[in-house]
Amino acid sequence: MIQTENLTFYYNESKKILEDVNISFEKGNLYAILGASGCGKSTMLSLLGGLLMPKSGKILYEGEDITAYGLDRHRQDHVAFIFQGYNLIEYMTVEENVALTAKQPPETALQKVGLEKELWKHNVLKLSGGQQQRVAIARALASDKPILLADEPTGNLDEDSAQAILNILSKSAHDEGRCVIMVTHSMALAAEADEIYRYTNTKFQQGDFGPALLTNTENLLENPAVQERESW
Amino acid sequence: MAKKRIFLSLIRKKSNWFMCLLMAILATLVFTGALVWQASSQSIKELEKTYGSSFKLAAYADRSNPDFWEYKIFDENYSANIYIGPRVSLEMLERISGEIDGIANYEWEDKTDLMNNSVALVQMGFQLVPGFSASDLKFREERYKQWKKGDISDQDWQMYDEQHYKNSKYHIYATDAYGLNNSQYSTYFCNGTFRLVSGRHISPSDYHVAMVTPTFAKLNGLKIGDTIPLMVSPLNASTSFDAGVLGTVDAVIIGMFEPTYEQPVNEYTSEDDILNNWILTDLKSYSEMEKIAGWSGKTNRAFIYVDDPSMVGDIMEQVKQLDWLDKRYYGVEKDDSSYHEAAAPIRTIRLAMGAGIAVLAASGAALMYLVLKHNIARRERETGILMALGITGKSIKRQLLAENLILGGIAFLLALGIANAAAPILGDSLLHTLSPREEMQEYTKEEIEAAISRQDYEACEKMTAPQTKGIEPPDTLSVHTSLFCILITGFGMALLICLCVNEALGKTLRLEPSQVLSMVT
Repeated sequence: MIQTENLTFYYNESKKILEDVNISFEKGNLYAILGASGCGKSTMLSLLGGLLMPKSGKILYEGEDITAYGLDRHRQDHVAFIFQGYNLIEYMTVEENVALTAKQPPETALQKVGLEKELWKHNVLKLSGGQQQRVAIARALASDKPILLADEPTGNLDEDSAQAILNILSKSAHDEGRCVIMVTHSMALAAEADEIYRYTNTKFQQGDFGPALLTNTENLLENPAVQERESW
Repeated sequence: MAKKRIFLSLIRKKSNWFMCLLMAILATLVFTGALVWQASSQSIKELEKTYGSSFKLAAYADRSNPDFWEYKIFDENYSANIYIGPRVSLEMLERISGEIDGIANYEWEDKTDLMNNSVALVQMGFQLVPGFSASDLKFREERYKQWKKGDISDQDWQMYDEQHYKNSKYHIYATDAYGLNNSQYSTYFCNGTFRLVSGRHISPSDYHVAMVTPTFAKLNGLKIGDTIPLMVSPLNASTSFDAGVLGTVDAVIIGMFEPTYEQPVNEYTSEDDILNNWILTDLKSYSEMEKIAGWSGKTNRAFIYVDDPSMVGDIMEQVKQLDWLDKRYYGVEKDDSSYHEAAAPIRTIRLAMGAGIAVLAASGAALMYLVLKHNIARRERETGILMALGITGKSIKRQLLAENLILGGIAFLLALGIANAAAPILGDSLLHTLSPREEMQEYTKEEIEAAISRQDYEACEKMTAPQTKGIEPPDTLSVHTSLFCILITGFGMALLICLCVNEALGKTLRLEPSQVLSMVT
C-alpha cells in the first residue's frame, strides 16, 4: 500500500536519520515501529504522512510517488494522524474536533472509541489525557483514510487506557482494512502488532524480536540527530 | 467545514474580538475624520459657489525690463521708481466683457502697493463724521493758540507750526473716493458691508455720478441730485498746503448707501476708515481723476464678476485664450478674497482632518499588522494541525481572511454608526473653536489709551480699525455620509486586512507542517 524506496532524510547532512530505507506497509495490518525515545522513528512517520519532504529516495502510495501526487493532497486523501500530544483544536468541542475532516458521522467514530456521549459537547481541554487521545483517534477514524499513522498513541496513558486504545487501532486495521502504523518505544505494545520494525542506526529491521527485548528497550540505539527536532 | 471553522473561531476566540475592537476604534477615527474632511470640503465648495463669482485679471510687473520703469522726481522731497509698463485699463475690461458671454461686472482693486501708481483719491473740504484727525486738530489748535515759540522744544514747535496745522487740516481731515463699475455687484454690497437705502446703484454706463451715505449727506446738506466736487490733489499735497488742487470732477449724487452694521467709531478712528464718510463714484470718473493726477488711469488688478458662479472656471479659460491679451504681462487668477476669511477656519479643519487621516491610516495600518501578526502567530499550532489533517494552505488562508474580513465588517458597521454621531459634534466644535463668533466690540477711550501707553500699537490699530462684517463661516458643518466615504474607508480596510493576513500568514504556510508543529510544541 505504502512503501519507501531508498528513502534518506536528515536535518543536518552529516548526521543522517534515515539512509536508503526500503520498507513497505500493507492494508489490513497493524505495524509497530520500535525505537528509543527521540531516535527518529517519528521522522519516519512524518515522511510517510507527507509532513516532511524526503531528501532523496521515494515514498510510493499504491505505486505513485507522493511527492509527485502532492504532499497536501496525500495528507488530504490518504493519511490520518494520531499525535502523541493529541493536537486537538483547543477552542472546539469534542464533536467539532472530530468533525474537522470527517467523512463519516463524528458520532460513529466517537462511539467506536468509547467516549461517553455526555462529553461530546465539552471543550476538549476539559477532558483527561486518555479522553483527549480517544478524541484524536476518533478524529482520525472519522476522516476515513486508508492509512492511520499513530505516534506514541498511548504514551501518556495508564495501562487500561493504553490497552483500550490499542484495541481500537487493531480493530481499525483488521476489521476496517486500514494500514495502521504505530510508533512506540514500548515492546509490550509492539508485541500486539502484526509486524514490528525495529529502528537502529538509520536502518529498519523487520522481525520478531522476542521477549528479550521486552525488558531491554534501553539497548535500542538512540539517534541524537533528531532528538531536538522530534517533539510533537 | 471551513464555514463552521470560521464561525467557531469567531464566536470562541477572545483575541478575535480584541482585533474587532481595535479595528472599530481605528475605523471610527478614520471615518470620523473622513466625514469631517468631506463636510469641510463641501462647505468650501458651497462658499465658492455662493460667493466665488469673481476672478482677477492681474498685470505682472516685469522688473527685468528697464523700459517699464521710470525714475520720477515729484519735488525736492519726493522721487520714486514708477512702473509704466502694461497695466489693466478700462478699455481692456470693456473689451473682455463685450467678447465673452456671462460677465456681469468688473471692478478695480483699490488696494495700493508698489506697482499701483494710483494716488489715493483723497477728498477734502467735506464735513465728516469726526475721528482721530478732528480730535488731533482740536488739540493742536488749542496748543497753537496758547504757545509761543520758545515755550516748547523746536521739534515740538515744528510739529505744531501754523503751516503744518493748515496742511493737516486740509489733508488729514479727509475721506476717500472709490471707483466702482457696477456697485450692486461689487464686493462691498455682495458681502453685506453696504446696502442701498435710496436712489440707485452705479451702473457701467454711468459717468460723473456718486453715491454717499445719509450721514455724510446730512453733515454736508446734500440730497440725491446734488452735485459734489471730487478733488484731485497732487501726491505731495500732504506736505504742502500751498500745492493746491490739480483738478475737480463734478459728480451727481444718484444714490445713498449705508453700512449694514453700527461701526464703532471714536476719536482714534481715522476719518477715512469711517464707512459713513466714504464716497463711491463711477469707474470712468475715477479713471479720469487719476489721469488728472498725471497717472495712467489704469490698475494692476481688476475683479471680473460672472453671472453664474459655476461658470467661473470656463470664463477664466476663455479669458486666458484671448489672443490679444499678452500672456507675458497679464494673468488670470481665481479670486477668493470675498470669502477667504470665512473659508479660512474650514480650510484649517480640512487640512487637520487630512493630516489626521493620513497619520491614523499609517499608524493604524502598522498597529493592525502587528496585532494581526501576533494573532496569527498565536494560531501557528492550529495552522500546523490543520495542515497535518490535510487542510490546504489556501483553505487556511481563506479561513483567516474571512474571519478578519468579517471582524472588519462588524468593526466598520460599528464605526459607521459611531462616526455618524461623532462627526457633526467634532466638526462643529472645531468650527466654533477656530472661528468664534465675536461680537462687534467698541473699545473705550481708556482701553485705547492704555494700549498706546504700553506701546502696543498692534492692539491699538486693531481697536481703531473699521470692523467690516463681510461673509461669515457657516454655523455648522453639514456632515453627510456619502457612498464615496463608505466605499473608500471600507475598501481601504478590506485591502489592509488582506495585505496584513497575507503577509503575516505567508511565512507560516511556506513551512512544512511538521516544522510548524515542532515550532509550537
